[in-house]
Amino acid sequence: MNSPKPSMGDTMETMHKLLRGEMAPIEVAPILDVPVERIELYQTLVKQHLTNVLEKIYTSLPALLEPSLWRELVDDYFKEYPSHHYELNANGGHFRDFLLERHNRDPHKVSGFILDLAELEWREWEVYAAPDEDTDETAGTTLNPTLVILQLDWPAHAFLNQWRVAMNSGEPSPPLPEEPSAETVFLFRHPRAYNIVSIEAREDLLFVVKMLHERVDIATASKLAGIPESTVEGFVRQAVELGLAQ
Amino acid sequence: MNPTDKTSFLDTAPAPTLAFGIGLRRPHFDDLLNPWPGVDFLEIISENFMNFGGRPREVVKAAKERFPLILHGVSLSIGGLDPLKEDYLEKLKALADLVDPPWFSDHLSYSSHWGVEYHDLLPLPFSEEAVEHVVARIQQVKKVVNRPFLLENPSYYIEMPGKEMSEAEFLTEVVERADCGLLLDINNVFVNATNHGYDPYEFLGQVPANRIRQYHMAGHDDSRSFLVDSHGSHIHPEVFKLYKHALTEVAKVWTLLEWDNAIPSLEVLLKENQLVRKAASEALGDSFIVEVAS
Repeated sequence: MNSPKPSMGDTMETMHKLLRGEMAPIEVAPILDVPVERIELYQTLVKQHLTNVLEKIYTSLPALLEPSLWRELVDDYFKEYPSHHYELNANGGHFRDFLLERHNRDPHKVSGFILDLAELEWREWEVYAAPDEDTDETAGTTLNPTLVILQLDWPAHAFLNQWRVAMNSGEPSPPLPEEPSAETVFLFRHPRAYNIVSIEAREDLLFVVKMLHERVDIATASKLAGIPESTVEGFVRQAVELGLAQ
Repeated sequence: MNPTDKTSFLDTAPAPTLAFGIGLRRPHFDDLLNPWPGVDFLEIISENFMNFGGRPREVVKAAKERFPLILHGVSLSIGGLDPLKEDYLEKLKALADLVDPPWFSDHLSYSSHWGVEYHDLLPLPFSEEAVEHVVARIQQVKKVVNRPFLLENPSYYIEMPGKEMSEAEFLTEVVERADCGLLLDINNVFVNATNHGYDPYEFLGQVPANRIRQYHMAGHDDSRSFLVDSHGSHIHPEVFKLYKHALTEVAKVWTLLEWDNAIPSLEVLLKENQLVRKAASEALGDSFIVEVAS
């Protein structure tokens, strides 16, 4: 007697177990009556897509972590955080949550510095991809709508800048910071050039951010802070030149 | 399909014409203001632009000023058993409205199950169950996006259980019953024919030529015991041969060069595109095809 024909659902369920790594190619091949080598390719490719996207977004982590640890983290992330978004890059976002879990479990394995690096690199991606917002031409100077203000416990921003310069010029990686040191970072997409700008917060720029956020005009801000109007105008001009305001 | 229905694919889709294009990929965004000799149109991966503002969005607008653009998707999962993603379809429609392409396309495959996205194209069984399932979902997609839709024959390395018809019959059944168009990937025909032991030339004679509006050309990898549709190398001479046959015997339509892995410089892509034009010129004896590009 012939065995009943498998439905699409049956086949997709078997494939799902293969692609999620719950079944080995050698187990799936006889069920689907297909060659092991060919079914294995699908399993490899599906995992590779996520691995590649993590390496694309979190550029510094695979370079700074021990290769065996990076592989372990990627393997575990793949198992614990299945991709649920059709846009591949979006599936890299939960990697920070995953790293935080690992940090809480063993802070020596995944340090607070690594967490801050991951936060910074993911936020850079988010800012790059952020949807455009309609701007109100009559509203005067406004904050860049893509602006993210990051409070980091470790000097991840300063390190990442140095690390990127070193990598681009073929120099060795700068030493990892040994102690926490708080950083406040402005991260935004330049409104005209579209490049991602990250700068450490300064007093003058914080002043402008607060002023524009609270919709206070230059004259009022000048009075409230006891700073000459021309100085405040200079702060605003500088913020606009940087792309922090527009 | 009602033969008097003037909303059918054959009535509403642009008539077949010759044109040659390449995929617009991120490494070439900076090149967009430079000359792209020999390129008549660009194809964009829908998912690479649907969720993005900033640079990608501006690049699409700038590209649209210079070229006709086509949308090609990879995550529709038309054969999947999960419901079609409403958010995806809405964003696809919004992108189509921005770009105004002559058609949009995706693959006759599935890429998600139980809410998990695989980001790969998985084959469907060549069965009546699959035909009925996919046809119903194509109707949903067409209703939302409201533009001519092409389905691409994907590469596949395994035949799923439950086969009741040939690949060509499956493809034909789906596009005829769903009343959509066909994007024929010539490299996939060659890869599949080699991997599954059929004659690619016979296959070309079995698909509905009147529904083809676009070809894909790409490179494959033959480092295993079977061919892999890698999109990461130059087009194989046998694929060029099959392409010439398709142009002379099947349909004269737009041809897109795909190169998605180890993406080379624009210069390399433009040269490869010239080779596609040259092949078309040799096949059709039409010298203008190359002259336009020079």
